[in-house]
Amino acid sequence: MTQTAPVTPSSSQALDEIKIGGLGSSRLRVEDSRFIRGRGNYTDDVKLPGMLYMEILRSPLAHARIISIDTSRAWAIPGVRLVLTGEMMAQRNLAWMPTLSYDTQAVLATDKVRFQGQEVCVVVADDPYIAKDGCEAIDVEYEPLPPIVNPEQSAAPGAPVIRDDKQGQVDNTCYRWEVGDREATERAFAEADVVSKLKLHYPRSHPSPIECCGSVADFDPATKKLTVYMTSQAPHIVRSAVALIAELPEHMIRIVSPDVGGGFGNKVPVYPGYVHSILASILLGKPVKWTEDKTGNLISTGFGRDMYLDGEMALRSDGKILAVRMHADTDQGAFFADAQPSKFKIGLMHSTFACYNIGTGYITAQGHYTNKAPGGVAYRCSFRVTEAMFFQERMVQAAADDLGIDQAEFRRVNLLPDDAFPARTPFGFLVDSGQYDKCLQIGLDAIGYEEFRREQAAARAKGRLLGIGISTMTEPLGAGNSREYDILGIKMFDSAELRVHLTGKAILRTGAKTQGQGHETTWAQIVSHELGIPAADVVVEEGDTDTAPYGMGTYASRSTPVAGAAVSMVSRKIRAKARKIAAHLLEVSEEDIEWELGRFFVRGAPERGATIQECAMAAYSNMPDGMEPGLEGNAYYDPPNLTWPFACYIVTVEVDPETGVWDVLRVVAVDDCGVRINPMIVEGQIMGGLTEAYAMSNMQFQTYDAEGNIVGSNYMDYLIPTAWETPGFELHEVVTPCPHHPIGAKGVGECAAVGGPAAFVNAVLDAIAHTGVRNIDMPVLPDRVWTALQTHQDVSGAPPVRNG
Amino acid sequence: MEIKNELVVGAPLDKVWAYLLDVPNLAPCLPGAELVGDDGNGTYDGKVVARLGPVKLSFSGQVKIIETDDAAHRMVMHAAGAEDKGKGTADMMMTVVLAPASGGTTMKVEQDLTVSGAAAQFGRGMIADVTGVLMQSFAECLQYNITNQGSGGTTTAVRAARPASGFAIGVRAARMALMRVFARFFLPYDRNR
Repeated sequence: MTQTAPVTPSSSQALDEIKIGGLGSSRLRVEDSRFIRGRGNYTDDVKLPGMLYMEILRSPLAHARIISIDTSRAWAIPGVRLVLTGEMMAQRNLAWMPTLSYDTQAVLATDKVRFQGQEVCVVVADDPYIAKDGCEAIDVEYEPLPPIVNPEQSAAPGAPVIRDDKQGQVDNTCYRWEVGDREATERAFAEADVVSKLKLHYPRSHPSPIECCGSVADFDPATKKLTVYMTSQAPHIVRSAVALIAELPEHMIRIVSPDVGGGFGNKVPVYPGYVHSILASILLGKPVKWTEDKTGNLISTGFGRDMYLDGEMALRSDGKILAVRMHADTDQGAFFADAQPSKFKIGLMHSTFACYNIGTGYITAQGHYTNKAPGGVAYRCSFRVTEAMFFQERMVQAAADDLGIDQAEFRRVNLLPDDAFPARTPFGFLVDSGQYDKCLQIGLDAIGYEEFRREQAAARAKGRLLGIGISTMTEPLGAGNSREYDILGIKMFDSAELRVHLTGKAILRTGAKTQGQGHETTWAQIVSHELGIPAADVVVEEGDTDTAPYGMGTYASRSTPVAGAAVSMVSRKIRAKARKIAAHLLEVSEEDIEWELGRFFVRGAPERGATIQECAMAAYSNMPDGMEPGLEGNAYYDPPNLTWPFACYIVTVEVDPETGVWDVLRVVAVDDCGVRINPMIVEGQIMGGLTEAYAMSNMQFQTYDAEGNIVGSNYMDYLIPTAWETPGFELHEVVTPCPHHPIGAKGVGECAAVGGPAAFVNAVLDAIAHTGVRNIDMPVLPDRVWTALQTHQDVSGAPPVRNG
Repeated sequence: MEIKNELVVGAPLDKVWAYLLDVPNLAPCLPGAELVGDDGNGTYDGKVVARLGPVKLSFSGQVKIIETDDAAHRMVMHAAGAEDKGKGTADMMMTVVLAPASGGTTMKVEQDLTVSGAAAQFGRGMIADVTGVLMQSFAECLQYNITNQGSGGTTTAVRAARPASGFAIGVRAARMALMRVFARFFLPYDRNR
């Protein structure tokens, strides 16, 4: 940026921020160039000399005692190098590992298998096919035990105890938890004019990233250094976990997360497969690669949701909410392996009703062990916020119907007003900012609410079923402030390190890890905003623990709220040093220096200035006496609070009364995620989230049959919408800057996936309101709608799946 | 999973009943099945090879006749087995009831099938259709053998059912599925279809 604009005393020489790719620029994603050319570098692309391949033998049964394991036929296959069993792991005290939720998880099964797909043995061989053959040659004798596939079976008297490995575990209860004011809530219910009740199940869903999990572990027997290339959203946490658990020295562990082909929370936990490959590499002294297949990914790795709700709302006849009471049962699977860092057993479930003035509330929760895959709370969701907001918006719709008040009006009465912020919720959160009424009104205007209601009545008269569904919610994003979050005791800060080279180009590294969010594009835009260096001159690098500063990774929409803030802070540190250099170059005192984008100038003499690039050159060639050379720095950012984006989603549908099939007519989304760094990427995130919201409401779920067989282990059964099914979206925007974030940004990645599903379901139930049906469990499949239309009864979708 | 099939075998009831009780004779008619052992007490060791969609499964297990009622022409069999490569297990309680019909014998087959592992994961939507195909094939084989015996053929001329080929099953199951869809759209509702 050495070109000089015509100098006139009155005109500023600040750079045009949009032109240099700064804040607010819809800059094209720099990472796409390599992705769409097939030049990405994923874990499976890593090929090391002498590398061996690993395959996992998984349990075909959901619950069974292991009688015997005979590996002799596998060892006899030429090319098989290692067969690991639970017993061999136990000899090294590695049969069990701790989870991030302070439970334990089997690395390889020793006593029992506890879910279908559990890891039983591992075979390492010269090529992946031999390893697979090796797995098939292992003879395992099982004694089947009765499987448990839902909380009701889990809590039934006489149910078999799944976790008989844990001392003192006498039943299948995983945890009990409560929050709120029980007495005040009971008083409010006693005074209520109307009590609205709703029972729901949010089905199990799987993030199903295109790239499955995998790792290449490379232990060098000569240097004792362990390098692991792996699909991780949080490589530093893995390094610390390996150091703390396996007691390997942390400086001799290097975790590299190359390009990650989608995460959605699926790649936060530490899976047994990673541990197997690490141990195999240490035992064999050679690199060992593990690449999961799609079924392995779907049946054994981190899922989302699977939660049951009993909700009650105390209401005054004028529409005011007096109190909310909820009980949640969570189906945790065989191990309590929630990868969530909050101090609350049920994650952020109690962020429910944060956007409403509900007076008081009380929430109880119980976790249940079942014979299903462990590792909940993943999937584009800040630790059960998705369930919290879905339950909230379904309860709000039921309450409005019970009172006979219009859906939109009921929300207007109870939403927090603009002057309420910062607002403390009955469950302890501090909501930072918002303009809720404005968002709702923009949405209603966009969809033409009143007109649609008229159309709906006219259509009903002809026997056609039209419906409209609204969902308004705020959610806490950006884990998180150290008071409420930690992982293994480590606070949830994030970090950035910026080096400006002498020619004014720069490299930025952060402790976050992109999985498609576009960090390489947006981080550079923040640097550009703060320093005036064109975004194209900043390269972003993440995912290598040997080079990146220590950070907690990317999930829970925390990149922008935490790592993004760190990028901003480190850029400001650099600017502060550059200001001293500019004063030196311009031969004035620092107090007389002013900043405009890309350039320092002398106050009162704007034509005398030094660009940031000139300062960078001087930092290495002409620094003031006594100043440390170089222009680089790092910043660690511990957020003071979560960020609270708000969203309003409105959906209209038409239900076919003959078949129960429903079509989406229109989807309107109004998102307020504060300042948008790259509007194009934000819109992409919202559209992606809406697509997943549509998927969950319409087709995408995992269930289990009575024998504990998973239904949804492959893409024939686990349905993901294609461009053909996905409706079009109309996006609108409101900007309420976050008051505590350096650039006013809020998280956005999850909003639509969190708030969207309720809008679709509310719309379908609105269309069949004449039947009096209060609930159809997601996904709202045509046969469920048809059943509801025929029977006028609620339709449950809880497992086990019916026969047929 | 409960699967119900009704077949008509073009042979008299008594002959079908007698044939049904003779498991070693019967086995070759079960597509993909092979009898490998007989303990003499009504328990038999066997193998079944089948393809369900993308997975080839070979089960080894035991079949036992639990109950026979000559008066009612009702037989209950229990079969249980495990897949040879550890891909899953199967357990089936099968009830067969014979009744006279015009032109032969009606055979009502009720199967209560429990499967686990890959077979359950991949084949769930197909199991009922595939079983229907297998039963049809079984009935044809039965009729052929009974008819040939009746006309003086020897037991050595027993015709074996062709092994359950993935492609043939696929084509026939697809045809059945298409016919079912066709019936749904164009024929009056029949809850037993």
